[in-house]
Amino acid sequence: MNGLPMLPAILVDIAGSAANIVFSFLATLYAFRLTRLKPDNFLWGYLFYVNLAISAFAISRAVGHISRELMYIAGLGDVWRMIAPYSGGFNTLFMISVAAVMIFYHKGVQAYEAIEQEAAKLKQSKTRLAHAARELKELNQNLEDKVEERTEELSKSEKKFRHLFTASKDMVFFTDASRQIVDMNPAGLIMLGYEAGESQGLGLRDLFRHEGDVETYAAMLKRSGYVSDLEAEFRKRDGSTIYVLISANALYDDHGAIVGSEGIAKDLTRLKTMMEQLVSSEKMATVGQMAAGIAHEINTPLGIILGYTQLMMDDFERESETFQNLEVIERQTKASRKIVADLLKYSRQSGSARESVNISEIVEDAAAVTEHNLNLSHIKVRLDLAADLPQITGDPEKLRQVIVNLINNAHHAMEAKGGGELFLRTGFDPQAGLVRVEIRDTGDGIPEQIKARIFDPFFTTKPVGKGTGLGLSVSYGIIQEHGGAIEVESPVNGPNQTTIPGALFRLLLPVARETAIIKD
Amino acid sequence: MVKLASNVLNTKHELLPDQKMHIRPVPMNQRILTVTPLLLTLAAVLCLPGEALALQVHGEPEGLYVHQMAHIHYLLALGYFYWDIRRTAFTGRGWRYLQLYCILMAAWNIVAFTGHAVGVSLDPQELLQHNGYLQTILKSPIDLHKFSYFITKLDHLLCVPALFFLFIGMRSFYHSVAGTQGKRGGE
Repeated sequence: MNGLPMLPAILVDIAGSAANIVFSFLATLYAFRLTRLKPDNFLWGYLFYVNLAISAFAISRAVGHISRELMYIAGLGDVWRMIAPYSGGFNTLFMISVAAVMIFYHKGVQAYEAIEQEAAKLKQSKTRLAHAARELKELNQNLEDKVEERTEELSKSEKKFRHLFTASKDMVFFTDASRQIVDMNPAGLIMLGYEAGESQGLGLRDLFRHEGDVETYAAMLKRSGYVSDLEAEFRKRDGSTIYVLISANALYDDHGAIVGSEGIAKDLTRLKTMMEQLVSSEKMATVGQMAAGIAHEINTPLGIILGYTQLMMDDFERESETFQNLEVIERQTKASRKIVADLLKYSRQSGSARESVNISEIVEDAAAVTEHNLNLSHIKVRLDLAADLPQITGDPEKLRQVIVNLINNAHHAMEAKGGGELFLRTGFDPQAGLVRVEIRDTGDGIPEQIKARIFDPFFTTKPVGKGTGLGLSVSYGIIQEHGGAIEVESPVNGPNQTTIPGALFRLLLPVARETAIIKD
Repeated sequence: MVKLASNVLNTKHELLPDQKMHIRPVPMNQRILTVTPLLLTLAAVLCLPGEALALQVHGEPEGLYVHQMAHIHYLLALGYFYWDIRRTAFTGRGWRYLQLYCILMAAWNIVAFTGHAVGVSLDPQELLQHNGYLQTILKSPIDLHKFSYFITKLDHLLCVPALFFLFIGMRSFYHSVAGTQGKRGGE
């Protein structure tokens, strides 16, 4: 009978069912291994369950098919018909299960994606956190190193500037906004005569001698932010004055407001004195030359006037008015000649003797000559003369004139006070090779403003007619001629930085060359 | 989600002040009076069933219908799975194999569904066994109905390749993940 044999379909059914069992088993095996590899991964877990359902379905179906074919082949069709509903039932059940599991894929993937995103975020955050922690740690380490380095640098710098501050010979000071001294170096304190720690409470107004200078200082700081080479006078603790040259800078806060200043003051007192002396010397030399020229020119006509006057006096009776007038002319002419002679002495144009002199003897003579007048004015003379003074070379008359002149000046200074004491002292400085003569009075002293002018010719504080103003000028000229110097102190420097009222003139004269050689 | 859960908790356990005002406890004796007639009725039904007709009888064709519906269900699930894989845009060979599995398995479902339908309507007299089961033939003439029956019997030609792709898909996933882990381990 013709027909289509079903054998190929039976063979495909049996072989296909067997292949299904193998492939579904292998697929499930790999899905299981995936879950072992990544136990936390939802997706692989899900696929494992899908595979499990597919395998259950495939195996159930394959087993059913193979059983059916084999039973039919073995002629057990009746048995199969009994089993078939169960096999079919399982088959349907597993197929529905597979479909059901697959439907949940969507939600599963959504959950998986959400978890993955969160995990990625967490991982990213963790990485960033770890990175930040590492950077922070490095930064911290660097910071510690830098702090250590900077601290060391700062310490070195601080030491350097502290040394500069303490060791400076100039005054270094800091002020606050109210111009009070905040800090001052030791040199500054010594300069002002204060002890360490005594700068507390001091202000610039206490330091500056003149009120206007404080305002100038503050105005310059405000205008330019600095003070450059401001010459000023500072008041020392004892009331005396020092001359200073100030350089300073303003200190600002974050808002640009001045909160104080830092300054350096250089003591110019010694320099200023030297400069004044130098100027004075130059001036005196000039005046001396001029005076010498004038004196020479005037001396001759004065001699002629005096000669003719005296000749005319012989022609008139003593009682006559003309004779008396001529006497006046003679007297005034002689006075003028004395002035001319003094001028010549000051300018060292007059002749002088050169011999060895013991200055103590000269001082003693001068004291003896003037003592009577001094006593009348209640002035006591205190002599302190060195006995073994070395000889000096000079003109004893001129030196005596200098000492008498200085004693007279002291006399005038104390006369107004109604008395006092005159100290005359001689001494020798072997180091400098100078003989020293000191004449000190207890008068009112020399005012600061005229101290620099007292040696000027014709400068006098006496009333008109009482003095010519040539005494100290001539004395200065004589001492200069002897290679010496005159120093003045008023008030007088006493022991332990104290001062004594009055004035002291100190003559410094070089010892005679022969004496010096003998002494050496 | 957590917020929603907490809201649910709030509605269950936390009552608003005005709601609390309306709740009145029911006295115990009133409850017994309400429940007792119900219990007596239930006891009478159980003791005197008569013809209850409560349970539905599942006749013979129901199994086939369920099976066919399961095929449709499986087909739709495969389609959805396939669409979802494409939508989620996972890349890699494994996902492509999985998509092939879906296509082949869907095709198999159609074939199997057709096969069941054709098989039911085929007259058993059309299959003849001359010398045992293996010699079974489909009687001539072979019309479309009989040819469909024969072709659909070869459904394994679709489902075997489908399961093969599932297998190599899983293997591909495994090797991919194992390779990545090996690299990380090597790093």
